Amino acid sequence: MEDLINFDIIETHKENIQSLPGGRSAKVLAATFAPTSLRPLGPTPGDTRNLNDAIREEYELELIAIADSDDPLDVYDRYAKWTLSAYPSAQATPESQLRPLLERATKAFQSATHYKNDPRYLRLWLNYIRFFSDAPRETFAYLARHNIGEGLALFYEEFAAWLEGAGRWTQADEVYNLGIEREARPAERLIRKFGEFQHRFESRVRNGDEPSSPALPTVRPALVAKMDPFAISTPRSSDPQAPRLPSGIGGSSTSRGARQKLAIFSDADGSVPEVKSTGEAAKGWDNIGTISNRKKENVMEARPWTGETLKAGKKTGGVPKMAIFKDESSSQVTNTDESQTSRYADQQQVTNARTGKIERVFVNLEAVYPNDNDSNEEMSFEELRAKSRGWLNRDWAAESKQRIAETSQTDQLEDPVLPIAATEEAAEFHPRPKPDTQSTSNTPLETTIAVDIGREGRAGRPKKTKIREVKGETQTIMTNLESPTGPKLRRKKSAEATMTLHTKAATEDILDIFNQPLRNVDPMAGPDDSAGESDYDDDDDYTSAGESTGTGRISGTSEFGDTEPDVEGLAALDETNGAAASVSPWSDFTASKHVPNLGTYEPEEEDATNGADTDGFVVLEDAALIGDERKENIDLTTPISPEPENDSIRPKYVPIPPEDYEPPTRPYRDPSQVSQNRLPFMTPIVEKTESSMGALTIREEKDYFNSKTPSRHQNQGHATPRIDEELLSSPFQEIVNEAPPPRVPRLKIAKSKTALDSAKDNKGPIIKDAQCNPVDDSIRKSILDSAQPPLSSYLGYYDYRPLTCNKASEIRKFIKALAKAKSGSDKTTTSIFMPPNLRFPQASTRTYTVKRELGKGAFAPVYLAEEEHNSDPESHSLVAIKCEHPPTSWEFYIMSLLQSRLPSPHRASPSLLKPHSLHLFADEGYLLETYLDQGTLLDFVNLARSDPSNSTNGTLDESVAMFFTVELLRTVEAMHSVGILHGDLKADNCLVRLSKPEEKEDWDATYQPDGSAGWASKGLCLIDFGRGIDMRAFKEDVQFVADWKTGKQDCVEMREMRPWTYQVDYWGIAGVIHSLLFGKYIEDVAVDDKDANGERAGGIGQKKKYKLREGLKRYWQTELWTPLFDILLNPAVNVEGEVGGKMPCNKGLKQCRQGMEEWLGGEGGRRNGGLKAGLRRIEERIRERKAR
Amino acid sequence: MSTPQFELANPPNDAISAIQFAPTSLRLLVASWDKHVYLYDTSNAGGQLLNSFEHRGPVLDVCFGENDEEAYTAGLDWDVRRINLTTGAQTVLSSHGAGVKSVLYDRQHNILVSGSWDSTLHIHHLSKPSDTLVKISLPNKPFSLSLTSTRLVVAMASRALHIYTLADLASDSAASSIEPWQRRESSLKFMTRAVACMPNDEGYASSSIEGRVAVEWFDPSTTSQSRKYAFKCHRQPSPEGIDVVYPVNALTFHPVHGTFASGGGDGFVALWDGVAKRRIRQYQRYTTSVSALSFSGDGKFLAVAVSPGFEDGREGVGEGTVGVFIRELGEGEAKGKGMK
Repeated sequence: MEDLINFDIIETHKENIQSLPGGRSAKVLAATFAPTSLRPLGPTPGDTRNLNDAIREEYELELIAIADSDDPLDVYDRYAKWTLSAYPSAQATPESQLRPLLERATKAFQSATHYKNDPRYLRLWLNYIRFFSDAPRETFAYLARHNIGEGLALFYEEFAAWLEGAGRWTQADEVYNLGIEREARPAERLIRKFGEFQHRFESRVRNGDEPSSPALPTVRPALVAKMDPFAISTPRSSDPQAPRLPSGIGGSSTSRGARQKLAIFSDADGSVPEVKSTGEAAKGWDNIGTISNRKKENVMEARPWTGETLKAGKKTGGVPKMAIFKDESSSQVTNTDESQTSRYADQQQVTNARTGKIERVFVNLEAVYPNDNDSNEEMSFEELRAKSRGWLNRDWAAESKQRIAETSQTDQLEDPVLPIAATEEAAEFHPRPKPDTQSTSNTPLETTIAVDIGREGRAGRPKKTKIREVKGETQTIMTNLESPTGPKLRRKKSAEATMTLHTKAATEDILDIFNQPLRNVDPMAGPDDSAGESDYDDDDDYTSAGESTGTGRISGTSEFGDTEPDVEGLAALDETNGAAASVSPWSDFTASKHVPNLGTYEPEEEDATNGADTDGFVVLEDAALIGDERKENIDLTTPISPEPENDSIRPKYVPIPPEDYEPPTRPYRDPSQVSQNRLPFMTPIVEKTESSMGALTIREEKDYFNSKTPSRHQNQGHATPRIDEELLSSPFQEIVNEAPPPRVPRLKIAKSKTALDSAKDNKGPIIKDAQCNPVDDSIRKSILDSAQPPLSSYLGYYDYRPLTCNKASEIRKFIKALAKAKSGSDKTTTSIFMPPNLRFPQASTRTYTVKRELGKGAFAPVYLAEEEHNSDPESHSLVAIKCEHPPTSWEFYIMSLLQSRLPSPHRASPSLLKPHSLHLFADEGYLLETYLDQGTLLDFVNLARSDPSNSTNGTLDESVAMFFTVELLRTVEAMHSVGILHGDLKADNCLVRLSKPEEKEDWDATYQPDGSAGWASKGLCLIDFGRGIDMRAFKEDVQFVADWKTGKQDCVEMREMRPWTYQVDYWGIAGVIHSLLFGKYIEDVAVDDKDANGERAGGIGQKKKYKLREGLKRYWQTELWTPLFDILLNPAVNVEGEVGGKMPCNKGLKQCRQGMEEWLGGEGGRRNGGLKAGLRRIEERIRERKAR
Repeated sequence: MSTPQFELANPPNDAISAIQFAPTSLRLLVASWDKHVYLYDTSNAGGQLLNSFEHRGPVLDVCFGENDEEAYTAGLDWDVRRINLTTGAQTVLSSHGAGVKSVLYDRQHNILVSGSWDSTLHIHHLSKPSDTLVKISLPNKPFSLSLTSTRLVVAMASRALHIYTLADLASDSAASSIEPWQRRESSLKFMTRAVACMPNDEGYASSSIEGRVAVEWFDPSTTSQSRKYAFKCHRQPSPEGIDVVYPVNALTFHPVHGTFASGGGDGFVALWDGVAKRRIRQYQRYTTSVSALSFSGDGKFLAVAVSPGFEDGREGVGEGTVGVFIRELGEGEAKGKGMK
């Protein structure tokens, strides 16, 4: 035992040793700092840490078992004592963890009554106050409130000492007195201390401005009454010190008047309810809170860096003077409150999607829209004010009764006016005495009059049927704010492009076209043998005309309204012209972002070719038509008004749809849209009647942009603006001046006419036009109408119209929920959503349960569904359901046609998707197809590209690519041989079909072109025939024209505005092969024929030759690929040797194919481990991906 | 040019609901929630309070009648009144079944139109005062009315909007046969706050409680409709970086230049060129919400009524917050800049 403590050791450390009121044990200190033999220079911080951590560990273990302890305080007491001695500078070093320890300790027993007067507990508190408390007085008051240390002199001494130190002498005096009064023990010591204090008190220097408030503030009842006068709705506890709930909608910051300079931090009630109340006296002050909690306003909460903007440089604008801390939890609490109280509340503060700026609506939306369920109930500010002042519900009619009696004597003028002035209600409920009658007995008479008035008013209710004939009837212009095609959908794709892509020049081009003179076609020129039909058609025209008062545009403007305000004088508004014109979903069309991965594709806005004009035209047109159609769907029997410009006397009919009438809600399957399935909008178009003889006669004009899109003319006729002085200052001035006089729209020949014709003469083509748009709705309709055998006779064709199904939205919701659940990685929620079931009336034995979405796109999403047969619930099979909305039977028709025309079994049949059935409803169509689970060629190419183990640099093995090429060629050849074009060939419309070979067959390693030895089960499968074209429905020398905005994905003929037929598929094949070979989208370049032949072949643009931009790899089978691409890119010049010297180039392609097959069967099949192994690898990879 | 603006002495004691300049003189009518209609002469700086007319309840709208000596008022007491401004005599023309929000006088047809929260319009044929009150029922509460020389635009709750032809209204036909010429839905998503017609009878502007103004044209043809647009305005950044969106309380067109002024809950008044789609200018911020605007008949003055609005559902009338400012417009100050 060492007898003496070496104070030298301590001496060197003394500035690190915190003084304790009770003193420190020098021995312990010496031990702490003493050098031992192991540590000659004294303990290093690391050593101490290790040692202390071990001891702390022990204490912590003890704390865990505290519940079993007889004296739990003892553990804390020892722990705290140890900490103080082990860390001589405990307060300053966070390692000591003294503060959290004291906080824990003090909090643990704050409700334990038996420790209230335990000096150890009080000491813990005192330590806490001494070392850490930021507001000691408050903490003392808190202790007093909780009766901690109430009976201990120590408490009073310490409190008084602190007050004395703070110069609060009177308060200290008060505290001493209180302690003595409460007989705190040891009383003797307290009295002694009090005596000493009094001595000091007497001799102190007088200081005038000493606080005289009581040392221990009491709960003043008066405070209870003081409440936020504006917080009417907020339930407020009567507890003044309970944390304040944020009042009003926007919390404290919404209070009236201008912006507040300084918002006061306020805690929400989030954490409070958890704290147990500690008895009556402590009411309202349940917890003093930890230091960090009390200082949280000053601490920036750590957040993940993702999505944060790192501010750099100097901000020029006004920097917020002071960042106000806001509790995360509190704001959340407010938010949820709001969302519960009103659905408008979440609109109160919205984030502008474009700028990320938060916008808060100043208006109290909850007040303005008092009824949550009915947004139509609105209260104007005046009403609100009137209500709050009590004016609103005052019944003046009763008062006026009296008043009138008075005024009538003074002012006779009033007499004639007043009785009539009586409102219906007023008259009925508060019959007024007529001023000039003497007695009150005439009340009944008065009432009768009033009732008469009322009846008259009622009789005058707008009767639509009657009114309709009236000239100048009401026009209804609806704003298309919430429609499915409306901004909602567009907004998802950040709609920025709408503004920027349409320049003023483009707009003017558009309008130019818009005002082009119409060819003068006699509306009655067409043969008119079915008057009803054609009248109906008239009406159709007329309806759309009368209603096309810019509905689409309106929706657009509201969309436009989201442009940023331009403080510099609304410069942004300059673009409105463009925006207003480009508001239809079509505008997005020009945005290159929808062209997948095409890189540098630029919309050719400035290109003032006819093509560009036409596009612009389409934009305008469809914008209007969307509205038309919507309207028409809603109310078929309410044509709204005659076209203002149409002065022809035209009988108005309430259109009664004929039996075969299809609501004009078929998707306008714009090719380039379909080819980019991701376009998020629907593109409805009104039904167009077929054009016809009238149109044929003018076909020579070769104006194919007007030739086959009849609906265009409808609007053109009455789109003529008035010429007005005011208009002259408008941007449309030039156009206006050139505007032709209004013309009567060309009448379309009833489609039934053509249908009848073709039914009679089925040999000939249905469509006799020399040039047309094959995907035009009217053409399709007439083809469908005259199909032999009729569509309805096809197996699997179910037409339930006019029944509606109304399932699409449910499915969409489900899919969305599914996606959300997935992304939220919250697996449990998945089970909440019931997968929607589909059951079709005529196949009621089967139930289809939608599982997930296979193909995206709001246009016609494809879902995977499980088919369950009622009779055999065990058997489940998977089918793909293409949900078309609005419905169309076209795809089903083409698919069925293909199956029926191809001789069975055909080598290519497995490569063509078979339709199971089509269920047509008035609102939706469901096309059930075979489900192939191996994904598309595009997926597969991407898979190969992303596969690092791939030896061939991210592209496919040549033999694999060639294998699929051969498969594709064979399939398309087969299609073409029966006169059907796919129309939309691309890698994502080719499914990989690597199924298991028939059991008895063994998959041979050597490629067998005829499909034997298991090779028939390998290949691909074409899907999506929605743009299929039946060549047999057209004249042999038909030429197609595309009237959509073309892009790189469209064949050169389309892009150059030249007519096309089979080229569309050849280009598609080339594109697929290109992506297989290069892993990129196809790009072509025109080569001047001069290089090849020494002279220009043909006229300008006639026989230009095209080749791939990308060069073929030199180790590839260039002798096979080059001729193939030559044919595919230039089919028109490769027709020698074909049947009839024209397309399809089946022969040339077949030669190419056979060359490839040969190679695959020979050398190519053996390369890189063989084709079979290559395909196996693919299968494996696809399976892996699926498993993931 | 010193300050081209002065505040009227003796402003109303409570929030202002409407102001209107006389068609030919510089007299100004101010309707207030303090149940009075005030008549000022604003030809001198500071203005002069000529008279005030007490009503039974707060007055919601006021307009001049046939001449500068006649005014019509509408108020929360359900009545539509005629006031002889010289004598102060008041005549009740009709009583609605609820508070009357707006009243408008059309000189050409000599009719008075009043719109009340009981969802009716009353058409008063003033030339034939005997028995020609026509009641037109509306689908919703009318919030704002505006007139051109031929049309009446009624902006209602539920974002509905009716456009009537004045000739129809002025005709003798029964109320039953009067159908709106056009029924429209507001292009704005939120409640319509104010509507004002272009003086050239071409179209109108409407504003919503959510800081937006839409400009639309009457002509139902597609070209005209395609010209319609909406824009954001009256939004101020708050210190927290949040854009506060204020209601647009007042709209009024300049009688000469065809530009229009908007007054918002943010206390700003801005002049816009609706054709060129430009903001011409924005005036200094007023202390509180702008509740009403009026151009003088010659378009040389703009009266701005400032009073705490009820936008946030709270009363906030304090000292000096209610006021009417008369701003003298410089030559061409309200003239549009034209296209580019």
